[in-house]
Amino acid sequence: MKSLSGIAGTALLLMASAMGVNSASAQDATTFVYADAGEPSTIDPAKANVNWEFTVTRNVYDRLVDFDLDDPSRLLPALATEWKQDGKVWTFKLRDGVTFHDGTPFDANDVKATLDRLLKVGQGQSYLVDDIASVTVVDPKTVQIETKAPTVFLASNLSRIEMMSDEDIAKHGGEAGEAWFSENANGTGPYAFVAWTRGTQIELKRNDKWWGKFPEKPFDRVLDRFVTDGANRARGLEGGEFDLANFVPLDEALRIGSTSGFHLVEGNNLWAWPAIYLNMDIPPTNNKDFRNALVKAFDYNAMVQSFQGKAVVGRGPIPAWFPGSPEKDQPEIKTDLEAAKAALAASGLSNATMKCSVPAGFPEFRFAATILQASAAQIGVTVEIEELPFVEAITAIKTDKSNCFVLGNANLSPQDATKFFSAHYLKGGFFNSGKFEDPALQELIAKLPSVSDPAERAAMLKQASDIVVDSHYIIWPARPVTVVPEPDRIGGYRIDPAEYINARFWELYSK
Amino acid sequence: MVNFLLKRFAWGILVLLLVAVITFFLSRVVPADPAAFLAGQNASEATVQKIRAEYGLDRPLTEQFVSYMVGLSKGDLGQSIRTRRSVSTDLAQYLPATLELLLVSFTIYLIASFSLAVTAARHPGGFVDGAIRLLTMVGTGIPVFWLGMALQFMFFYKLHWLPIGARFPIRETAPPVVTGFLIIDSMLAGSPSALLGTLKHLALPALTIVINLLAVGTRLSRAALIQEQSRLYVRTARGKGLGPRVILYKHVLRNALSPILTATTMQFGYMISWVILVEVIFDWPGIGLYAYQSFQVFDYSPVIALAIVSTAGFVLINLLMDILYPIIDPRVQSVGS
Amino acid sequence: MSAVLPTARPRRSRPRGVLAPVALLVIVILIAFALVPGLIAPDSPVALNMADRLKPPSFAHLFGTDEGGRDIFSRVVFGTRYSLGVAIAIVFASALFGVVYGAVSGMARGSADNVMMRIVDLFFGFPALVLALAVAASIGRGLGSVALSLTIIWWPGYARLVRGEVLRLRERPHVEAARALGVSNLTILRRHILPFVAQEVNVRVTTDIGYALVAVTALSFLGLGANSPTPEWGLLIRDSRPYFGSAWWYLVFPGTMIMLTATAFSLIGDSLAARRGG
Repeated sequence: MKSLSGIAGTALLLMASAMGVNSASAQDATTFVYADAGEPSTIDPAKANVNWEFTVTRNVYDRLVDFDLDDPSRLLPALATEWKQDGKVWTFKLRDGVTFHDGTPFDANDVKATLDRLLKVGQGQSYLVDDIASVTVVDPKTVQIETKAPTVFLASNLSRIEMMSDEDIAKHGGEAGEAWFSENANGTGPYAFVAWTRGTQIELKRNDKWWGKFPEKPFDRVLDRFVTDGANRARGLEGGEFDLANFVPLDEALRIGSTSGFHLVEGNNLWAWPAIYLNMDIPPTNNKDFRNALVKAFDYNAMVQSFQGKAVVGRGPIPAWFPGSPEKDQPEIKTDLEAAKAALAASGLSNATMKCSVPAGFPEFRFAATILQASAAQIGVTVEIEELPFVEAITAIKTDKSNCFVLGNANLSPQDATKFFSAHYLKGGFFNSGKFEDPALQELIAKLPSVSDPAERAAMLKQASDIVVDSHYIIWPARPVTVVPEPDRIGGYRIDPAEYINARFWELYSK
Repeated sequence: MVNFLLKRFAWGILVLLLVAVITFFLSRVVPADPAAFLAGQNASEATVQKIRAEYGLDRPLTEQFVSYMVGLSKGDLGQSIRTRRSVSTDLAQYLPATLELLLVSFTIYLIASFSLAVTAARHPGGFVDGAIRLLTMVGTGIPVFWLGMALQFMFFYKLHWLPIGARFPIRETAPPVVTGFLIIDSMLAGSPSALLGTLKHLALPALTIVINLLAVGTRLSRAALIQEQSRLYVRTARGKGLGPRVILYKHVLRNALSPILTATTMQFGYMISWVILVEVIFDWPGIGLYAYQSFQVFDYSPVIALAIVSTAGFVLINLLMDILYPIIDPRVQSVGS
Repeated sequence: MSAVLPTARPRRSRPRGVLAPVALLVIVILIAFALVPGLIAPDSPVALNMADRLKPPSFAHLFGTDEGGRDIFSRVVFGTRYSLGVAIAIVFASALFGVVYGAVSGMARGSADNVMMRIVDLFFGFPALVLALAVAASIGRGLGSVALSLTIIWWPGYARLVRGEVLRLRERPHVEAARALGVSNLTILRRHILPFVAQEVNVRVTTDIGYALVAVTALSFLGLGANSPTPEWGLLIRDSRPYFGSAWWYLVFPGTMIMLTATAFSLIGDSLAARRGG
């Protein structure tokens, strides 16, 4: 038995050395640990375009304007203190005494260099401001931006554009040096970049020279951890390893939020989470009556139930909270099997089969497709589901290998719907995966930013929305309320309705 | 002997080349476009095209292959699209994490497997032997990913003894990177708490791998030992009046070592596969997780690199075994013949 | 090498005596699951029933329900033919190819044998998962690509086993005698070698089905295999991930089924080995 006890001894030694105090009890109140759903590919503000890249850029850099999360129609001063529009020309007055983390002062040249570079690179969020024609430095504290056509939305779209330093751009920019920005950051923001441990975390430290105001007891150090698995994020949050996590699966979020030591933060729901896109180019989904049949057959209640009731069924693409949303004037979309069968009969298609590609990693997307499958089966339509990595899934529908695609997306701009429509419903839009085209819609969206009367804009937005709804291009299964479990020891977390879970570290504090 | 080893080495290089060729072509038949991922959503076609050119993705496949092979001959494993760095730089970062996990697991496994096999083989057919055999059978049937999750559930979620994943306690400062092996770096930094933290984080992933390896390994080792015990020299020894313990430890073990080692090296391929799964489950920042995440966005080079690195590991281990055999087992002398 | 004939054989262990029939029973049940799932499963494996979402095990739902209110027991039953079916297909295809390859290599001997075995070595070093990633990338995800990549990884084991057996057997007196009498290689192989090899292969096949099952489910877990809502066992475990803290049964039962099935095949394989030996 000697050898057996040997193993037992080895194992015990391992266990004993490994046990000890649980990390939850050894927390220091000045460090904040954020479980992020992925590792950035870049932290360059001109290229960042997923949540876990924004986690860094939004906190390290500042923007010219901010907006009220609770009322997106209200813009707030940030690096710019005043702004006004005069036709195609916008003038921004810049804040005094702002410095970058490396100590250089912030002025109008930085704004110009940032926007010029952003538009030249043409990636990331540049589409939000691609209507800029030129940027002019009037004096160190005044900058003028001229747009190609008059747009009322420029300031609100600039609420997403991070300001970099012109010295950095001169030193590290250009074809050869761009790489520097991918893994270094020098902003004016509330947190400064410290280090990036590949595969593990990015460390930030509080910028106590920041122009803005921190709450009492803010966090001095932020660790942005890369935890790709949603279940691990949920469990780590619950077990106290993390202070906050993004993309926690809804069931886990609700459960954790109701346990002692946690509370739920609820916020406005997103634009389309999920939305099912139908391919307009290949049968059977190129048949409008067939699409109508799917829209009518879809079991919206099942989707709401899968969100445990924390969801509403959308009536179109634009959620009610959005400034000028037509949602309240649009008819409800409801399951109606009889109407679905009638529409299917009108389509002349029977025993149709279609394929649906779903980006992997999002249980609600897959489940939306599963419901579509079950609903379609009730009217005799077969749906095959294929779960693929995002790029592969969207390529499948774009190259006509799939009839349908499930996507969740936020509209980053707090006031401008046209960028969302361009990307999702107009020809050439990246997310217009089913290749929807409508000349009237194209015209409306082109004209909308130049209209200065809000009421007229709202009317146009309703027309635009109706065109998309009536085409039956999209099925909107349900719009979940954004739910985030927050530990009781932490306060200040607010949900950005336009961007799924972005943590504003500068608003968080320990209790 | 030297001649034999040289031959082996040449074969190893050939194997590596073949692996590189196979994975290169397999991974390039993909319908998806990594440049689209890199450009990001909403990027214009012109921007995507620019990136494609930057990474050479717009060139014909054969041309891409030639330039990849030329790079490879210089030790350049290509560029990762996801991390925007060279794959060699990334590997240097991620390899130590994987190696540390592998080495720790393998050491525990060797000791445990050996002890179990000896125990089982001492009384073949006895109750202990039967129990160990049943356990190893059940062990081989446990999917490694499921076991990992079950251990997380038990030791993190329920008991709060061990962390859920990663390599080092989140809120503590890691020792300065010298070797990349946290155990060694902690010791170099002279920090017992860092060492303890490292071991805590190693415990579950290592245990997951060990249990799975143990199940397979013990079966093989036990069979080798029992076969060895039934040989003539053992009976002779018994006839000479030597005690069973002496026979087992002095004669049988020594002679059974080489088949056991062979069986162990054969498990290398398994181990690499397990490691990818374990790294995914435990958020372990090693090459498995690195390659898996890259695969998700059609970043091919890291996947090919993982194939090359793990095959190289396999070839090296086999080479090492060829050298070690004659030393361990005096009966194997004329390997080359 | 010291040529020593094996003399003592381990006596049959007690556990095997009790467990083999149990294992056999498990396999019979699994075969029933695979062949007539509709007769055994109480519910549809795919129809949604949102009112019963994520319910714990009860008499109505032995293994509880999933996020769509589907009966997990029914899903496991219907999943048998996917998980186990693919595992069996992989092992059979590998055995078939491996036996032919190994026999040819063993009979050929010399440099041809050497080259053939070197090719086999190539596959041993290749990590299965990396190959599976590459295959899935090129021909697409699905159980088909899982079957292909695992077969590519699996056959060399058989080739090596069979070649070893052939080399051993062809030195046996009765084979040498046959050769001396001028019997053709093919006939020798068919009449004097393959029947013995078959015994070894049978044992290996039985045990391997369990291993292959584990491998298939692992690939599905990583998202390389079956597509939702196919009730493939590995995929069930993958799907259960987001409900980890809310529905333990969703993770536990499919995993237990994999374990039980693999163990049953291992036990039968062991039992076959013992019978052949004793």
